[in-house]
Amino acid sequence: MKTTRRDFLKTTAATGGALAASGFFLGEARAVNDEIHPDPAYGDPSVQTLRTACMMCNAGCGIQVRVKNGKALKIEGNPYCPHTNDYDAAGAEVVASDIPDADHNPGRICARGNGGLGTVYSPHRLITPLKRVGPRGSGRFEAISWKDLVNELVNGGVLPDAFGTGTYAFEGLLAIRGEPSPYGPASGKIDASDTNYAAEAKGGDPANFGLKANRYLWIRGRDQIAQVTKRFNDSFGTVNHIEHSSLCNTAWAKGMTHTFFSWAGGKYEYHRADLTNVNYLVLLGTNPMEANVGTPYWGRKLTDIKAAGGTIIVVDPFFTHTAKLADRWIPIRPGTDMALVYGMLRHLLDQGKMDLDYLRVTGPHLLGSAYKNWTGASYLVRIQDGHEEGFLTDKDAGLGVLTTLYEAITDKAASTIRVKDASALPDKGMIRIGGEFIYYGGKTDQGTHWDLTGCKRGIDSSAAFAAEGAEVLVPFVVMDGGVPKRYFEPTSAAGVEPEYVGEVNGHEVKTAFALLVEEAESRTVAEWGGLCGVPEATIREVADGFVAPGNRSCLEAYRGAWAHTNGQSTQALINLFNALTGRVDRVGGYCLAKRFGVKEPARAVNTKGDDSVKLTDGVRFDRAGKKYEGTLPQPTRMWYPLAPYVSQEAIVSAAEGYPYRCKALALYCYNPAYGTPNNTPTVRALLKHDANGEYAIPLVFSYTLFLDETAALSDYVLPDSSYLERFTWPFTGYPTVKTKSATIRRPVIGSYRDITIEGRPARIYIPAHASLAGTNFATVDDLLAAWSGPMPYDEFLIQLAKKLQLPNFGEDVVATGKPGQHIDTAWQFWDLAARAGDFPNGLDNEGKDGKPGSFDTPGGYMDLGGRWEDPAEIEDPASPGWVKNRYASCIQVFREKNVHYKNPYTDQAYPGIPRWEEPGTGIKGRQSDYDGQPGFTLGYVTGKRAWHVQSRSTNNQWLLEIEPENYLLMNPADAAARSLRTGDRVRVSSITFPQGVLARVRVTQTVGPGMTQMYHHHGRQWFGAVPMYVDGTASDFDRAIGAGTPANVVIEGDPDFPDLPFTDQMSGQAAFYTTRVKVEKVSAG
Amino acid sequence: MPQLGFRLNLARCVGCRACEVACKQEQNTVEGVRYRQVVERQGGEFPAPKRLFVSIACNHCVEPACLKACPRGAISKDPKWGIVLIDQERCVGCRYCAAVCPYGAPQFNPATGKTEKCTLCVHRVLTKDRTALTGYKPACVATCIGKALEFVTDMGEPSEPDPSHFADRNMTKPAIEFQWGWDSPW
Repeated sequence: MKTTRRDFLKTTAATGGALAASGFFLGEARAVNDEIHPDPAYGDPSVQTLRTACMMCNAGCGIQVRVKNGKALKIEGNPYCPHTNDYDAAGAEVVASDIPDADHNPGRICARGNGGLGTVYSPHRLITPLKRVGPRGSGRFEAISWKDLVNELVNGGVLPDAFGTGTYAFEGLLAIRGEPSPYGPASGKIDASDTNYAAEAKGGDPANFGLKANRYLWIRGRDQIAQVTKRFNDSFGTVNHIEHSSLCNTAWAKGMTHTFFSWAGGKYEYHRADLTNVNYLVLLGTNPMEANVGTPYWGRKLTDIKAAGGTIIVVDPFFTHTAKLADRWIPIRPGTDMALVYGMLRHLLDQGKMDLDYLRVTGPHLLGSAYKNWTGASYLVRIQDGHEEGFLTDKDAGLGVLTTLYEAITDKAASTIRVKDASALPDKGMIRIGGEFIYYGGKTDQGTHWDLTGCKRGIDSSAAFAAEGAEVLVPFVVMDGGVPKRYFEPTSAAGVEPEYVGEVNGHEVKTAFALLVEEAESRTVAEWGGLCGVPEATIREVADGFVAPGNRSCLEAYRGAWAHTNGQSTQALINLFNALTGRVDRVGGYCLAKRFGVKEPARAVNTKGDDSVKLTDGVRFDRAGKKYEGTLPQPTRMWYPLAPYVSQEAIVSAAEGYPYRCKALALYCYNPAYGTPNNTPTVRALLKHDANGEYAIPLVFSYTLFLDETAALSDYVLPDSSYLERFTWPFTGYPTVKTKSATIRRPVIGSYRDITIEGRPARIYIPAHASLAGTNFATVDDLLAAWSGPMPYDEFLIQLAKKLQLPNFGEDVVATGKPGQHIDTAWQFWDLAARAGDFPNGLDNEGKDGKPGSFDTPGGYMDLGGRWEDPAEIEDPASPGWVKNRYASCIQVFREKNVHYKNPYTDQAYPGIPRWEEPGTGIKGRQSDYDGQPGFTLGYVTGKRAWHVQSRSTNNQWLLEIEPENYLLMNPADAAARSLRTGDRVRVSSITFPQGVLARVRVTQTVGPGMTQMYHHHGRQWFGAVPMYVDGTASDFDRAIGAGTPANVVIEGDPDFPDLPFTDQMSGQAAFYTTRVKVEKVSAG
Repeated sequence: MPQLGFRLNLARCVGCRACEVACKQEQNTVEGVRYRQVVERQGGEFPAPKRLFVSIACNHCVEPACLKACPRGAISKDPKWGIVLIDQERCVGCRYCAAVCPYGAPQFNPATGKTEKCTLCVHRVLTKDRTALTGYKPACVATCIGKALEFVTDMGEPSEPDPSHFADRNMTKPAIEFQWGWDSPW
């Protein structure tokens, strides 16, 4: 009997200089004899099973890969990884014997993960570096060697102009860096020649924009090697290390910062539902059966919750795959989840269902046995003229100042602080010096003074210097029996007043909780329901169920709830609802996740705590984290003092030369020309040029697997290696898994070689589709000249750093006191990083024989593909009902940092508690104006498919064939009103993009009246949909990749900054679910 | 004779398509050939719509119509396990089997000019001599993230109804059974 088998992985060898521009193999289809066993895992001893981490999305599920003769043949779930498998380990930490016959009993992975080989071996992958020979976007390139490419990036070169008729010279990275000393920090400040906006620098001095090196702008999409990329950018001296996160989840992250900034941990902690134990789960704007992160984990858990009789409620404008699973689907008006949660809170307040005793716990000293964490609900907030001013300190309250600094603070990272007398302070706790909140973990009487030790600096504030004699305040004061007391002073919780509103020492005060209650009570449940389009009765029922005895409840939100202009506040309120109902740290509640990690190898030149040597300094292109202090009353473009990143600002600002001119833009695994909501302005920015044809951003280079829409607009395109050909130590996953975990990404195909470089021995990894000629390389140039094919990005950065003579790379840079530790290759970097962290043997003997995986210690972390605590032990055996890994710190209701800043256009301060704001509010406070533009009546949102990931999977043939194109989903009533039937072609337009895009309609009951939805991923302009021309030869392409509609194009821009999507000015989050579209029939299907 | 087959819990199937792609990967099927597919059915009306995902491949029927239709004798049913297979050396690609199969299981491969289909991962689930079960699962079952799809080693009569519009069981006696979990049949 013969079955069928095709040699899918037949590879066209890419060797020497004879590289094609793309294409590793032809999808040759031929039936072969079944004597070759179809799955090589079964019966073929030459097949290796190697465990690593997936990267088909960003969840980092463990996978195990069958490898034979250097080819990956099959990808399955790694059964040791709790993302893909549920099991009970015998001991505290997972060992090999916990999964019998692991090679043949795989874990469960999603469609994307199963499709990985289609990406790794895609015929569309780039295999040689390219340099543009036509104007940007012409698709015309020439192949260029790594050596020439790197030398042009470093020293500058010549590029064709925008007209395709002439050329222009561009500056290289060395000159952009200013005038640095070799292997030292960058130097030289931005001056008037670099900017037309000097008046908007602090004090009107352009030097306050920072170092010249800032003219190098770096933005990443999926960066899973941040230890290397941040080290490179810091060492280069650019402050413009910008992450894509504002297109992803900054509203979520900053919402977490608001509530969960751990005192003792000194950092904020992500919290998510304990999906293993929750039995009343309310999902707000998240569809984990298709999107979110870690579909395999969610898939098992949500179906298990239902099988066990639990309740799942899905709040979403669409009847998603997740809603299909739920007990109840609550369609909601996009961007109004805050109103729903406030309605639930109002209901619980009205019904007296809040546990005020918990809110009376003011600090760790009052926890007793009933609680494992406490809230800042009772902390007093100063109010002036109706505005929140900040926390009331002990000095404000007239309680006096307990001590002062014995010695000035001259080091922002100092962990010991000397005060005159700490006898009245608790053994550990929170102090405030100036604007800085500091946690100390111990105190010691030194006779002349006291040491506060184990300090965590800058708790949700900025670490700062302070003078000798500065007052050391206690930052939180509560009312206890009518008397103000420091947060650690009440001896019992009984008399604490969490709802106090009144006056203390001449200050008008309210507790943080009172502020929240005030907002909740500003509307009735019915009014909150009116805002979000949810019936009052539904809100009350969901809230009642949440606090019903026996329910292990949790709210869990993702992008649909907070990718809005009110996003950070929405997520903060969701956190607070979980917290105030006592669900934090509870089994089946809202819990953090712990990870095993690595440490970046020490830096020889660093800025930590030392302001005399600044590696980076100044204002970023996105103005994130900076307050506007220019000499003009208002800035030309927005500044975002509270946001970590505003990536949607970076490229459009850089092309405007705001706040200073950009000389070079580097993109890593980032495709904003396709992936940014309202992406057209980003495309225009990359094409913007002057009358001479010189581009506004003169040098753009993209590091990528494929010629995506942004790479097509770049000057140089650099081929990356795939996720099966790189290190990521560790990939820790998203905090769904509640037991401590780490998944390791390591190469499973490709080879290693022991080489010498600049006379020093090193081991180097060579990806499967690359080759390296020789073993001894006198210079970096020699190594680059000998390299063909894709290069892992970390390897490229290390070699580029050495060419640029940056500190912290190359010979003897690791200041460990062990001369001879070099960072000459990525292998060395990860070996050092792993050893410094939780992986004591580093990479061990990996690669000693040239192959991946030959020397994995059986049962070791390389063999298992990571390190995990027993995934079944979530509950603390010593504290039933509480999880083992706990937050166990203060949950803040009021965030002081917010109120210190205000919008420079509206002069409105940011709220310290979540306050209702209509979604779709622009930066200057305006909503979209549809007056005089009839027909824009239908809501429009985008979504993801369970088998695709953003923009990275469209050219994966296995995944593309599941659904060849996307559709505009419409309710039958809206379709009928436009005489539309499934399959009809329509034009979908918005006020931002009135020319519109063509789409096909699918009529469905899964979309409510007045709403439309379009799945992402399709309508690709490049990415293999059309040929590119390398040295005049057309590449392989497939028109099917271009089918469908690009969903981002019609997303509305900000009314006053139309080159941006709507943006949450607090978190920087791009908001993309409040667009209204017009749908017009073009032709019948 | 034990009849091998599939059990699908329709409540647990979330339509993720992991099974489809695991199958493509395991069997290396060419573009357009999909041994396993997830069929979606929608029903109800807003605000109470319904969705049903049915993951389906060859049902390795007890009385396979394809086998009877094949003019070349290329289709066989394993006497010990009930797996239905198409011998690629005998198949001439006439597609009669595809025409008679009530489930759309046989897939024409334009590259080979022959028809092929789900093998129930015979190479995984049976020993090489096909005398015993290995204990391993078909690729689709092994990857199912909702634990909806199961491998059944001794198929009996189904205890719960088929989804409406599923072909009449009496035609071929498919070796698949459905469960509805917490959902009501429709």
